[in-house]
Amino acid sequence: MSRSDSLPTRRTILKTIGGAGVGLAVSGTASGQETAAPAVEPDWGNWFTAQARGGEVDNYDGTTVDRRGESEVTVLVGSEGNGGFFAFDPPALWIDPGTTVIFEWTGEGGGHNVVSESGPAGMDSGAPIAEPGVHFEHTFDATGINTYYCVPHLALGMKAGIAVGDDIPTVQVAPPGDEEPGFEPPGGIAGFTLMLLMVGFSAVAAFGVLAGESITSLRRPAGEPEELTEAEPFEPTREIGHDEFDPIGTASLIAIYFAILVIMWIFVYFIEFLGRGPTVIG
Amino acid sequence: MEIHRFESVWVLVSIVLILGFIGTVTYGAVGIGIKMVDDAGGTIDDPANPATSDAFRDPGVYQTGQNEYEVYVVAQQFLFDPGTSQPIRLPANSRVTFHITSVDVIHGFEVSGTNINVMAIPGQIATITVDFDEPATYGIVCHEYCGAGHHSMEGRVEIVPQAEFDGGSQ
Repeated sequence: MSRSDSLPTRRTILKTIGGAGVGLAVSGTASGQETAAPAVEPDWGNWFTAQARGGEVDNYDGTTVDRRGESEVTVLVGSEGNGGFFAFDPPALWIDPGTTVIFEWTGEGGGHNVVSESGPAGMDSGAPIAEPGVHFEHTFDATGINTYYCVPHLALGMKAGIAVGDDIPTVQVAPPGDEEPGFEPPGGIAGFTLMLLMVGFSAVAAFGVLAGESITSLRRPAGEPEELTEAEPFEPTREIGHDEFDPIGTASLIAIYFAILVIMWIFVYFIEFLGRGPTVIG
Repeated sequence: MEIHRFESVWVLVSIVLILGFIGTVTYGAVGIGIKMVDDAGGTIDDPANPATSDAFRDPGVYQTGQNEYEVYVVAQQFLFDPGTSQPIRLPANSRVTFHITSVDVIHGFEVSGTNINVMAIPGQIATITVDFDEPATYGIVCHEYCGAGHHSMEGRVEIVPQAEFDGGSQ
C-alpha cells in the first residue's frame, strides 16, 4: 500500500475543483458537487475543536474522508500539520466494519504513536516511534466512532478519528462553499477597536503638543531676557571634627540591610535549597 | 586617611558576612556532599539514536546493588522515556543514579519540588545521583523551551515503599 493511496480521495479532488465552480454556479458542476458531498457526516462531537483536550486540529477542514467500501485504508502518522509534522492524514476517516487501517509513519516530526481516546476500538500502538514505516495496523470490526491521538503531540492537536459503519450518530452538513466568510478585522473586533483608539489618542496628543508649542511661541515677548541673580554664599554656623559626629541613622540602615541579607541567605540556602531534598549528591 | 570608627565596624561586618556565605557553601559541598552536575556522564556517538549506545539501548530502571539503582531516561519532543507514558518507579530508601540524554533539542529534567534539576543535551549524558528516602510522587517537568509542545512535556517519578517495588526493567 503506497502513500498516494490515502492522499486525495474522490471527494477532496471534487471539492478542490468544485471550490472554484461553486462561485460560478454552473449547473452541471454544481449538481455534481451536490452528489459528491454526503448529506451526513459522522458526529465527531467536539473532538476536533478547541474545547476537547489537545485543542484544535488544524488539518481537519470540517469534512470526513469517506473510504467505505474498501478493505484496506492507509493513515499517515506524522503528516504535515499542527505547526510541523504533527498530524494524522486523513484526520477524519469513515470506513466499513472489517476494514483494516494501516498506520504508516512518515518518519517526520519525532516519535509518534496511536492511542485511542474513545470508541470501541481501544487502540494502543505502544511507545512512540520515529522511524518511517508501517508500525501499527488495526482491523475495525465494531461499529462506532473512534477517536485517537498521539501521546507526545496531543497538546499540538495531533488527533484524529475513524468512524466505522453506517449505524453511527451523524450530523447534517451543508455543501461546502455555501457561505461567504464575513469580514474579520485583523486582531479581532476588540483588537481592531483598540488599535483605532490608540491611533486616535496619538493623533489628539500630537495635535495638543504641536498646538501648545505654537501658542507659547506666540506669547513669548520679543524683548531681552530677564537678569538672573545668584544667591548669597552659605556660611556654616558651627564646625565639628571628623570623629565628633555619630552617623547613627546610616549605621542603623546598614544594620537593617545586613540583617535582611543574613535572613535571606538563611532562607535561600538552608530552607529553599537544603530543605528541598532529594539533592544531587554525585 | 581618616576612617570613622563606625565605618571600620561595618567594613569588618561585611567581611565577616562574605566569609559566612563562603563558609555555608563549603559546608554544603564538604559536610553534606552536594555535587554540581558536570560532564562526567560522557557523550553519545550518534546523538539522534541513543539506542545504538550501550547506555541507552533500553531506557528504564535497573538495579545495580542493594538499594542502588540506575535510571536511563531519554528526553525527546515532547516526552520523557520512561517518565511520561509510564512513571519512573523506584523504591524508597534507595540511592538512584539518573543518566539523561536528549535525541533532538535541549530539554530540561527537573523533578519538581526537589533539587534534581539538569539539562538534557543531545549527544551528552547528564549523570546525577540522589537519595530517595520517603515514598512520594514527584512530577518531572521540562524547563528548557523545546518546541510547540513544550508546555505539555512532563512525566512522573513514583517512590514506592520497598515492599511494593517490582524490581525495575531488567
